[in-house]
Amino acid sequence: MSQLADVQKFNELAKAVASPSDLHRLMQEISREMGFDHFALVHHVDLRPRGTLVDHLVTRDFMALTDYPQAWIEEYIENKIVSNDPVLLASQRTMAGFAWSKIPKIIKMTSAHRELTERTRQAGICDGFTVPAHVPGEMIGSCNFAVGPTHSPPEDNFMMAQLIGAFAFEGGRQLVARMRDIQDASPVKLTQRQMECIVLVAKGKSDWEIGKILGLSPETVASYIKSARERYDVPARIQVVLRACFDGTIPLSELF
Amino acid sequence: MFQHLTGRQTRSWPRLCNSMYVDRKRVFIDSLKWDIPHEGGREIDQYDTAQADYLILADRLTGEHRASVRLLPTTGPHILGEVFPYLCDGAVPRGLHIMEITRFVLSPDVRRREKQATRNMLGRAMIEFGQSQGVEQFTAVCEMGFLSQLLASGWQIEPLGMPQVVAGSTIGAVLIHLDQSSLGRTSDAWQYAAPVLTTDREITNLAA
Repeated sequence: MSQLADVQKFNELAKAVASPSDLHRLMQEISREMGFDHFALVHHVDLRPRGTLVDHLVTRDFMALTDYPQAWIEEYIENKIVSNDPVLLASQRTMAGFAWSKIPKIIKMTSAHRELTERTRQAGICDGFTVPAHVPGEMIGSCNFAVGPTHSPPEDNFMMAQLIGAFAFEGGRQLVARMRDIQDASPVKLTQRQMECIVLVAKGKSDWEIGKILGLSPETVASYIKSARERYDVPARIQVVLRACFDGTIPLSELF
Repeated sequence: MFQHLTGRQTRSWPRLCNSMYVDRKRVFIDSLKWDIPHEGGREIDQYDTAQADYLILADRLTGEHRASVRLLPTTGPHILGEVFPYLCDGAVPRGLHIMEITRFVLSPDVRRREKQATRNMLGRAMIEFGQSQGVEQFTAVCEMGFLSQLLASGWQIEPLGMPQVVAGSTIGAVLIHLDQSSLGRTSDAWQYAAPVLTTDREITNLAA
């Protein structure tokens, strides 16, 4: 197949991925096909709070998909290399894809950068091509393709990698957006007052009794309960009690 | 609101169009360093003809250019067809229902926090215009640094060939499909909620 046909096929598949692991697999296949050994499709974020098992992590805010050697991922995260990685720094400074050999032309390489580059090499990530992803209003990211020590990066496929990187990043962005939709569709939040009223409803109290206990008028109590019903989109107050218990908004222990 | 001006109408809007050419010079030549002709602080090329269509947003107070795009018929001379045909693997897409997007630009004077909304209006203006004119596809030569931003629009976009490095910039040809679902599939990031394109009748009233 021509490079263009490969890119078009990848684009169709990347648009349709159902899960982070699907995209991970797709990235591995296309990276190998282009003559790279590894990929890292990432938002530039400190992953320490997430632990180090991040080969295909997608949250509501960012993605981290990679098949870099696990030992290197651990070292990378624990030492917070993300903040000083010359590859990522260069991709924050430039818009189009670049070969790693061009990095000294994009950023000023410090001795710390040179040492990091050497450590990266020893970890088996020797050379590569990076596609920066700048989407205004969103976290900066990049799609990185790397080779190990046995061969040089496939220069003839750099322009193909440029397109693949951009389409891959968009595929990942879609997964992040979907994660956000799923989470936003979940728990209904009640205000403190609504919650207090519903707990007392659950204990069988009337509006008048609830009002006495909380120091509110029965009308105010009724309006809190009504607004709680609206948040759950249910017609009866007993349904609010059940839903709030079921989703954990009101712990069962509150009711005894 | 965006105004649609044909190449013939630009002369009736000297202040607006002049400030558009000045902003094009500031962005494409001063900032992006494109190697294209300019004169007297204005960027005008051989495609700014009577055949071009412009969608232009004017500043409400000053009447000067805020954002614009130039659309060229692909049945006549256009940039992908004449300057960069080698960016297409196959034949350059041409046809009555295909237009080329060029000079997509925001004025450098647009304030930072208004940039995204202004860009989104410009994107929406292209879709509204395209739909009203029966456009089915847009072609464009795209700087690769802009591609992830463009793909984030949610529109149906495909590459026409491998990108190439031309005068220091990596550029590639893309095809953007347009249909009745295009506004609906626009992502949150590129969303602009209300119609943005003034009708020709309203423009005539403004000019009167």
